Amino acid sequence: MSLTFHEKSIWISLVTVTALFGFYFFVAFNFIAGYADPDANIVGLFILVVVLVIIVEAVSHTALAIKFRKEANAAPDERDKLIELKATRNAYYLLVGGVWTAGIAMLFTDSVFIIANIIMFFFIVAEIIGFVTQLRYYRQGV
Amino acid sequence: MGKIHIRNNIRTLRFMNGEMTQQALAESIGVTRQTVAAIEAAKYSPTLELAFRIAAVFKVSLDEVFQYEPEDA
Repeated sequence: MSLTFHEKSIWISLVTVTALFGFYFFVAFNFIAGYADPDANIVGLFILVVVLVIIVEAVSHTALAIKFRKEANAAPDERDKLIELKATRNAYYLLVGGVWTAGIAMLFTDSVFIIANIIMFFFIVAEIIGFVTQLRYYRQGV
Repeated sequence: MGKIHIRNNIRTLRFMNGEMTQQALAESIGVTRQTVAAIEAAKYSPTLELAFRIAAVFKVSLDEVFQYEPEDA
């Protein structure tokens, strides 16, 4: 079964977000653990990663839309919408877990940087879970 | 993801209707070709509305397209 335009789009987002934010969290958690340069500009790195994600997503989705112009203009059908809804539900569960984790972490640290990174980490992982869930439903059925 | 117990004859009906392609059927019911393929393979159960649209394309009743198979069948 060939990939729909929507699946191709999800693959692009999955690879982009995983690679770029994976790099960011690798550096950020090393920084928190004290293994990185204490003068490292982690906030600057975060902004750079966000900008890079936006650029890579925009360029690759534009290229995809140009290559598959007809499919790109088609609205998602009912199967696409159902898969997206189920993926959003799964991602939400993880996001709730992240909020609870951040809440518990507040009992042990007053570092805004750490709390913000915990929340952001779970937000990104929830996004990735959403992408993976969608790809799984597209392949295995929903 | 539970097992889907709805069987369908879409592939046969396409063949009997001038060997209609999945793409042609998909365009006439407003979904992607991959969704038609998923329905044919029983990997996706369409909504009632889409099921009626499929039956209308082939000019047959709904139960000539889809049949429910009880779990113990």
